[in-house]
Amino acid sequence: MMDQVGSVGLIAALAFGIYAVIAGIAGGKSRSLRITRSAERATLGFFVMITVSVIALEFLILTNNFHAAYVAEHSNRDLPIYYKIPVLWSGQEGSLLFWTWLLSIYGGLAVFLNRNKNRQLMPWVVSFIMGVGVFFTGLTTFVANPFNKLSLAEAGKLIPFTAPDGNGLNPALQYPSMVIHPPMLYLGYVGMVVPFAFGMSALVTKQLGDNWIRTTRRWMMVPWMFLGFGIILGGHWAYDVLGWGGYWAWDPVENASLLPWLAGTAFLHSVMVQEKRGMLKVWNVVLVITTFFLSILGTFLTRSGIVQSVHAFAESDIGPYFAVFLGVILAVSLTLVFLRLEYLKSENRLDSIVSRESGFLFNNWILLAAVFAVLWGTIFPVISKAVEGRTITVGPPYFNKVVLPMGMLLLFLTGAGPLLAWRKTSFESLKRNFTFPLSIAALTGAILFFAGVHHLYAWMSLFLAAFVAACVLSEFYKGARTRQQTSGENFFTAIYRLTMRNTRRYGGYVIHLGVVMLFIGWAGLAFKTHVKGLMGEGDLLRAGPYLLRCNMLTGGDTPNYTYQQADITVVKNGEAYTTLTPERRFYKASQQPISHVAIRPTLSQDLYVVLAGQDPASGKAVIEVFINPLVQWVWLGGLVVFLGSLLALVPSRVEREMAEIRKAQSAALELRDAL
Amino acid sequence: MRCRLAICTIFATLCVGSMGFAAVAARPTLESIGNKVYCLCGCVTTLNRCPHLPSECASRAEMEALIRKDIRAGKTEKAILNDFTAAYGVRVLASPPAHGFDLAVWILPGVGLMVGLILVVVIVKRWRHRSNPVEPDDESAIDPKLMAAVEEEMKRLTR
Repeated sequence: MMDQVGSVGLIAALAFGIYAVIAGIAGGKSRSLRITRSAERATLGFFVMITVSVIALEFLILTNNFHAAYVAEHSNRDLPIYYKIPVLWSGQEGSLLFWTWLLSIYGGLAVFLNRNKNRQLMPWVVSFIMGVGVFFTGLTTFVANPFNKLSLAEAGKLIPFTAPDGNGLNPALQYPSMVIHPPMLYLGYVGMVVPFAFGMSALVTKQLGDNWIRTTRRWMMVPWMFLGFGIILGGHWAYDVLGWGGYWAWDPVENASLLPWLAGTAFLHSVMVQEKRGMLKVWNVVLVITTFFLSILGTFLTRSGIVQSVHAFAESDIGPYFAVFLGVILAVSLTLVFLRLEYLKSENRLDSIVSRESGFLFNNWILLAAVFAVLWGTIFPVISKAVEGRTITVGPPYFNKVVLPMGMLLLFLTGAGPLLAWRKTSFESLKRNFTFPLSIAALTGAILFFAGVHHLYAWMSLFLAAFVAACVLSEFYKGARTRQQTSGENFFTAIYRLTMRNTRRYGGYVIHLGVVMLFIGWAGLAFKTHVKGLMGEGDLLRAGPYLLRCNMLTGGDTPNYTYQQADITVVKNGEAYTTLTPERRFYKASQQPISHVAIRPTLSQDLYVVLAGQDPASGKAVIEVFINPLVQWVWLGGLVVFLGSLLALVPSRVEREMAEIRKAQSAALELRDAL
Repeated sequence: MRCRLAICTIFATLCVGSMGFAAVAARPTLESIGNKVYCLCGCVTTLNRCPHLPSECASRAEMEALIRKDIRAGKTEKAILNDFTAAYGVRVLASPPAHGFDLAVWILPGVGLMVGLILVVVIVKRWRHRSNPVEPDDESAIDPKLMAAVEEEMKRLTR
């Protein structure tokens, strides 16, 4: 019954989507408010129908309906309920439905929040968002339908069949951060459709002034924030579950998530040049298109199976549909840009090379070069196979060699950029602004060098991190001191009010501080150590300053999995430090083993212990110990970037004042038009 | 001019500073080689990151044995990687060798970076020499023909 409800929901959503596209175009062309409102209501209808399908699929999963092929493939009876919910996005068909549902939410929000704004853009925005929605709903309905019934081939005929139990959820996905990592990533990927739709609508309507760019910045900021947080959560999951002591492996699927994030970062910076100086108009439109294109390309790369990835669970034959869709996106968007070049001319000239504008240009140069390097390395095996006919691998050594230097340059610009003034920076101002951060960085660099940090990139990361942190903190300090002198507030009130007065600027600084913390964490990778040994009860293993003693090896059985566990006491510098219990689980339904790592985290280093398995000859546990310096800084940095993004999204007093001025200007223009 | 000089000085200091970090040719280890070759069991990761134990993964066991043998024989990292290429083909390397067609993977990012830089410099120069910036803000968003018609209408009404 519920599978029929879900299927009907999909077909109804497809109908609403098609209608919204057509009505949007008609409303835009005729400038009819009535037709436009109708298109907007169809967008809400699309959301309702997709929601019905999502509820239907979740119902099938939660009630163990194994006559549905998707449920039988990705769930099982003994799967805990909190892991049944994520079954929705754990397989191809369900994740496409989930993608479409998030798209419908974004579409509904875009319609609701702009019900009294951007009226000329909105019919086209609806058309573009729903155009993408129709593609995904079509795919979910006709190519990868999650409501297909399980069937058995018997005498050349397909007979409906209900499995007694399902194959279970991939064990690697049965982990708390895995419950929220995919939704965060998807919120990032899918959300890029809204800025794209606004950009395309601005091109269609020739409304290429400041308005679309101001609207788009917020709509870009939200998915950018989710995508970044999703990437960090993915890293956290890999670190906790995969058991190799790291969190980033330059896997094609990881790279695919990084590409739109980098392009979105470039846009969020260059958009300021257009807002402040009316420059980089073509570039900003191209960046919006690139970011959306890369988010779809990422989906294509991960699902088509054209590149080999450790995330092989997502592979299928839907690649050609995505290839065509990507072609359509490129053709439509680039044609529109070409036709509207006349309206995208810069309004100002560059007064000096040493200015905030050129700082942003260089920032964009590095970010886009990084996008190219990562994309090139990711797809090169496919090109090499086509040209040379042989399989090659492009893995971490390539990406570390090529992308790391770019990362260093970017980190430098993260600190230097905000210290440059708009239009022109004088030598005196340069000297005034850079002396303190450079002195701090030089002092830090010297201390690190003499303390034995001789790894080039690690040293450079920490040196530049000190420089950027000093730049950002001095901006907060200078602002607060000025407020103190004029208003007599105490220092912390001054910091708070300063931040809340211009959340966008100071939120951006908080994000930069988060980036500093990320680089500090990455620098720690250079000093990672690894020890491996066999441990029976009572055995000792030394790893750096730690001495590990295996107290006992136990095992157990749960309805979902069986497990082995090692109870290990750790002594550090002669004193009891902690007790760790790494686990090796064997999931019954999927017949797959997976390690559950035991970690003792501190800000300076993590003690990371893995029960990798059992040595067949001795029967002892294979224990791997990693000492990972500074890893916690990565998670904290990710959190700070997320919080900084939230802060930057809070409307500030300055923005409210500017909105009032714009409203008055717009009223004056309307009055002029009326006259 | 002084600003540019200051920026060049900062970059020069960074470059000279980084020369203090001469790369040391470390002896190869199981760990260092394990990061540079891919396990061929189908896990699509480097040997060090293969989620299977050598006792569960024939490919990992065989490859680790080859590394140990070569290290005992006193071979350099390059020689060990050559042995791996001879035994398993170029696909075993975690990054392709910098010759033949595969050279393109190493060169093009650098070329892209330089082309981007040239583009940025050209844009900056053009912006610097622009003498007649177009009219700002919302004016530019309005169709020039429509704008002319509006101006004409306003003139007529205010006459």
